[in-house]
Amino acid sequence: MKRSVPRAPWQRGPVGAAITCALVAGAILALDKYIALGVATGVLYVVVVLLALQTRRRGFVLLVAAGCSVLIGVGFFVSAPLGIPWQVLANRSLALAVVWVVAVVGLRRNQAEGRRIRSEESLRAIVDTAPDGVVTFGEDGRLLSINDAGAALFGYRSEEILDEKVSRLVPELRGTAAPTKELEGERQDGTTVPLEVAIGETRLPDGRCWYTAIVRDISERKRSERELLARQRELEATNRDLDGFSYSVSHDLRAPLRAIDGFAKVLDEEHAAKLDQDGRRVLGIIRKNAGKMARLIDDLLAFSRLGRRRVRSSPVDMTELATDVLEELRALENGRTIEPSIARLPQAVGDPALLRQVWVNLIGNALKYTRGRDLAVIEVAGEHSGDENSYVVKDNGVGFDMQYADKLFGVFQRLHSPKDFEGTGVGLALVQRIVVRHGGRVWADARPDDGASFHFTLPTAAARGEGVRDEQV
Amino acid sequence: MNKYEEVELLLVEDSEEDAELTLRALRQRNLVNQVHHVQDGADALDFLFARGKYSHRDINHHPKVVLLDLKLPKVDGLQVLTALRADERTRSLPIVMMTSSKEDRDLERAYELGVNSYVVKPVDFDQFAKAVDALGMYWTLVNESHRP
Repeated sequence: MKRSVPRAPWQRGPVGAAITCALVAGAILALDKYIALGVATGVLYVVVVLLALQTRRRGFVLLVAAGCSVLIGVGFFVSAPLGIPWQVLANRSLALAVVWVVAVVGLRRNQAEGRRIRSEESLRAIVDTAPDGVVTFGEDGRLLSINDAGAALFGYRSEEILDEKVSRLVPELRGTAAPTKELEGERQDGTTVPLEVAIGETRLPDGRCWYTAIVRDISERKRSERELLARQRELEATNRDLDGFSYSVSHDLRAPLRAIDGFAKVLDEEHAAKLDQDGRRVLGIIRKNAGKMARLIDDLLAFSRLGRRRVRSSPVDMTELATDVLEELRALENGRTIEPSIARLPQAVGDPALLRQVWVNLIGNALKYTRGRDLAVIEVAGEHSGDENSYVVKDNGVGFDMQYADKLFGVFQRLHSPKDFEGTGVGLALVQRIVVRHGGRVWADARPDDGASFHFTLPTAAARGEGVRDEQV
Repeated sequence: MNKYEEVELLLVEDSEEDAELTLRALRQRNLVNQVHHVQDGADALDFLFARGKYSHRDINHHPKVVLLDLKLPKVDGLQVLTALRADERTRSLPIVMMTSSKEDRDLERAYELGVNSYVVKPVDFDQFAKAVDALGMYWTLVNESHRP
């Protein structure tokens, strides 16, 4: 914002200034010669110095001051003697002193003003380029200034809105300092805009108050908030649906299944004599499938229930956990020769129950798929690195073909026939889900008939940026 | 003599089929001679408090154990449990909840309301029989029922 002000002759560049000073100095010298003024003459040279100060050039001012000093000296010889020589000398010296004092003081003030102007300019630059609106207004609410961003925000040009009351822009805005709060603004075209406003107060020396308001357009943020809320509600509704569905599956599907199996058994136990061999075989098939369905339902429910659970966050001793699980599962494998080894595992941060499930599935699988071996070798190891800890369960079992590795972690996906190894194919899907929700990865490596190793990683506490955080699995 | 005096086990089960299987299991083990079967919660309460159609029953003769299904018509399992625990006369009656649900909230709620134990009806008949079996034996042989 530039101001156009009429320029005086001495403000029109160095040449103009020099000429003006010279002329005025000359006039004073003439005065000196023909009219006996004494000290007054010297004082008149101050005018020349003041003129020079207007140019704001340090060098020029000093030159002029020096020049005037010389002329004061010259005047001493040129002018008519006016009294006692030492008095005259004293007068001239005084005049000299005054000229220099004015020059020096003037220069200092120029410097200070220069600094102030530069500071004002840099602040102005900040305000002008700020993306948020900066509006200042007085106690009466009238706008004193508004930056470009602010004017644009409300749909005005700055000239249009200056001097209007600030309540025209933000109806609830009052002349008091206030911390950031959300208010509604009114644009020129009548539409409203959500704003975040912070007001600062400045007290002027005469007791009046100025207020500076920083105004930010938060329409984008508000829109995101609404969307997020809507999505959250949708998720909650879906979860409620799933809850109801699971409950229904749990009760309603199992009841008839119980009857099927129960009464098939009754048939088997009490009426087997009436059935021939084929009849009994058929009955066996009925019972076997009832059992299979029951396990499927159980697994599906567990999978879905874990899917809705909140992942707790606490330190977990993985070595202890894995050892516990191994002991427990090993106890069920009677008559087998198993050589397990569990190395020291890095501590994890996560949900103990869910991580336990991971070990149960991985170690359980290792035990299951090594059934054909005379000696089952199962190794559990782990490694710590800055960001993440990695764990592995290795076995010397039947392994699998890496060609189908991407199916491994799918729900109900199996790479072996249920004739050879029982299972519903949900175990690894569960492992993957749990590990991924803890922020880790899971993968496997194997060769057919040459064992398999299952790896998973978990982020360390540091990598998680710890604090107890709950997350939906 | 009132035939209800000899009742040792009250079976509260709305499903005919589940009831039949339970009764078979009990009979097989020769556990309990007298089982009375009611099919909803209201009847169960009437029986235990000797009112309604059971008003001629002697209220001081409690069954040794009540096998209570969770989902029942009219008055459901948890409501029956609450009513029994609220009354001095039936507060220490051994009650075993039976249900097909492993859902946590049911389990917690039942324990909060004072059930003695909780059994998930398994699908495989053997396990089902074993669960009832264990209950039957425990309650009739081990637990000296507290009779007021």
